[in-house]
Amino acid sequence: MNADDRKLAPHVDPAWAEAMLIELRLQGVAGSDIGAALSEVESHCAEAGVSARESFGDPVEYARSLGLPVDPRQETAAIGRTVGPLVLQVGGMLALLAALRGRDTGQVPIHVGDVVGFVTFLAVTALLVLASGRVLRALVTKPIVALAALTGVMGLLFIPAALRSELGQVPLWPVVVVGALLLLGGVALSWATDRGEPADPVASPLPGATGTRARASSWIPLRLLVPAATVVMGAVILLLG
Amino acid sequence: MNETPWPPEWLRGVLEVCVLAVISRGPTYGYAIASDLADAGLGELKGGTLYPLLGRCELAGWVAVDWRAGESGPGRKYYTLTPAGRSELARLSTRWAEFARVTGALLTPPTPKETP
Repeated sequence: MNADDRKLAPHVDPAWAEAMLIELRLQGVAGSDIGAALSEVESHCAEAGVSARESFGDPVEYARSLGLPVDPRQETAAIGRTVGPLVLQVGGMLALLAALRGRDTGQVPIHVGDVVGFVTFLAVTALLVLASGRVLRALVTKPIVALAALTGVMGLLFIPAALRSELGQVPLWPVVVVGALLLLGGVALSWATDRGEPADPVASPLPGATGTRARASSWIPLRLLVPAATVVMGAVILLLG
Repeated sequence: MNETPWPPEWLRGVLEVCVLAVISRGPTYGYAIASDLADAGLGELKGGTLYPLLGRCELAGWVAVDWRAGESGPGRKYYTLTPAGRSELARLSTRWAEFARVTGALLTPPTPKETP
């Protein structure tokens, strides 16, 4: 919780307000609805002269009891629209890295591991999107366990690389062109998606008041993560020969 | 006023119609509703009970809301009864009156009959 959020609810214990805010965010409630709910607690505590915990009980229980509607921008389909560009980028990355194998012969050998790796990536991504609420909740409540689990799952993606049986060969340049188009197209698409999605600040409901905090877009590092990973992994492959 | 708090399960049943009745007297806000209910003898109402109930009334379309800035203090969320809320209040009030009559009749000790 930042200083602006404290301004929104100065009579509410910051830890209590933070817990309520996180729970509503995890539920996918819109920032304006969260601001209104928090302002009502603030208004009541200020006038009644009681603490939030005294009158409203546990912040997480209270947030759940409100039954606030889920913002359509936060539903699974919306998350899928954000993840779609990432899938394109990873497809492009795998194509470009595979293309490196054909740099001498002009023919790219396609391995079983390439296909299995990409399919595994698609399956894991689909699972993460479908369970995004639970994944986020785990990241907030048990960050170390959740991060370790996520890292482990990501590590699994590299196992199929060991499957080197050759499925066939394709010409080098089409692979490079398709890989580059997927990678750059994915970046451009994620850029467009982010620009099209307005920030969702926790806003005061009072007329004339402005939002206090735009939600940080968690996808900004991801936007350049895959191109960067492509360059790094490509360099490693070239160095190792 | 009644010093012993009412059993919570009784309040759960009657609170909704009582809140609608308080709002029917004119636009009002959460803390004022809690105060009015306490003054009426229902006891002190927790915010954790009142506001989720007000939220359900809002979602059901029984109340309209608007935020008004306080003179010095924080803003207040004012609740006004909608036509749908008014008919819900009328329906619940009638039902509650029947319920009170039935329970009242059941709980009234029978007048002793004259034995011959």
